[in-house]
Amino acid sequence: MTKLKFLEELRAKLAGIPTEDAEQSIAYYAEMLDDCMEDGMSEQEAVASMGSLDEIAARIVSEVPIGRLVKEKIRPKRKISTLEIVLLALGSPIWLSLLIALLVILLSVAAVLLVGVVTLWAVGASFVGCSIGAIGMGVLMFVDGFVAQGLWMVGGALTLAGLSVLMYFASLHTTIGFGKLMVMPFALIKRKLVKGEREDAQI
Amino acid sequence: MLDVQLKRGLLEVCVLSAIKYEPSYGYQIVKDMKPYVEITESTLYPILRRLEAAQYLTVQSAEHNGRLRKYYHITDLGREKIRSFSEEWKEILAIYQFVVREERSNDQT
Repeated sequence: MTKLKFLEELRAKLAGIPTEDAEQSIAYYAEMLDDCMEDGMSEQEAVASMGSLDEIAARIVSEVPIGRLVKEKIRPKRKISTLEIVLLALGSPIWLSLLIALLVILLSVAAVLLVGVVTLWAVGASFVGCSIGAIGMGVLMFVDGFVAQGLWMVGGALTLAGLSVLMYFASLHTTIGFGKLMVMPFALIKRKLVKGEREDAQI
Repeated sequence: MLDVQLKRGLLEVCVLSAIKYEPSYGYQIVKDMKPYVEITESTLYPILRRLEAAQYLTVQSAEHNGRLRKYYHITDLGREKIRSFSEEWKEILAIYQFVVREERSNDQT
């Protein structure tokens, strides 16, 4: 593949990201290729040494902040006609409220999940608290001469302490899972945006 | 396999130290780093962008053989980053030596 062809294909694959970011990375690869050839590589070798175009493009896309991607996508490719503006404005009581409702539903789902996570931690913390309290209680019972009751208390306290360790790991993994779940929609939106653009560009 | 976050941080400092004595350009940076650390042209690019955004380096174009080439200059902030990195790694090295020593005593038993 020639240098020009390589850069051209890279540009096509970067159709979904802001032009400024795309041109900057294309300039970087152009310079790289020139320097490779100056160092004695043939044009073919230089292009081959860059690696796979798909990987290069994927890496560049993944580094563009999602805010910029969305802005690029929202910017209309053609002028919106007056009729469309009127329709958008007239329809806003319907689509705007639907959109808000959808967002609120998504947010409440996230809130419910978060409550679950917090509850797990709270249960774990209460186990720890109870266990400490029960140990104190058991010791007091020993001192007062209630040996059997004291033993029972301490045994219960140790069981709770063991359970709280289990609870800690359960809470930790749930929290990590929750975090991953919250990041997922953004990664999904990002992929969708770029993919959509690429298909548009090919048509 | 190194942890992704750790590797990212290491590569950033490596790039900074590749330009700490004199400004350099993309191809030269990759060439200088290759004997020490696994890096490719495509992994270098996002690192340079991040370092520029964090103001650890500045980019200046200069003419070379009738074309423009981008030279990366380290900033004071970038030098500071290298310094704090080496401080941090002194601690990590101490931990590493402790870990290795334990392994040896286990081998003998």
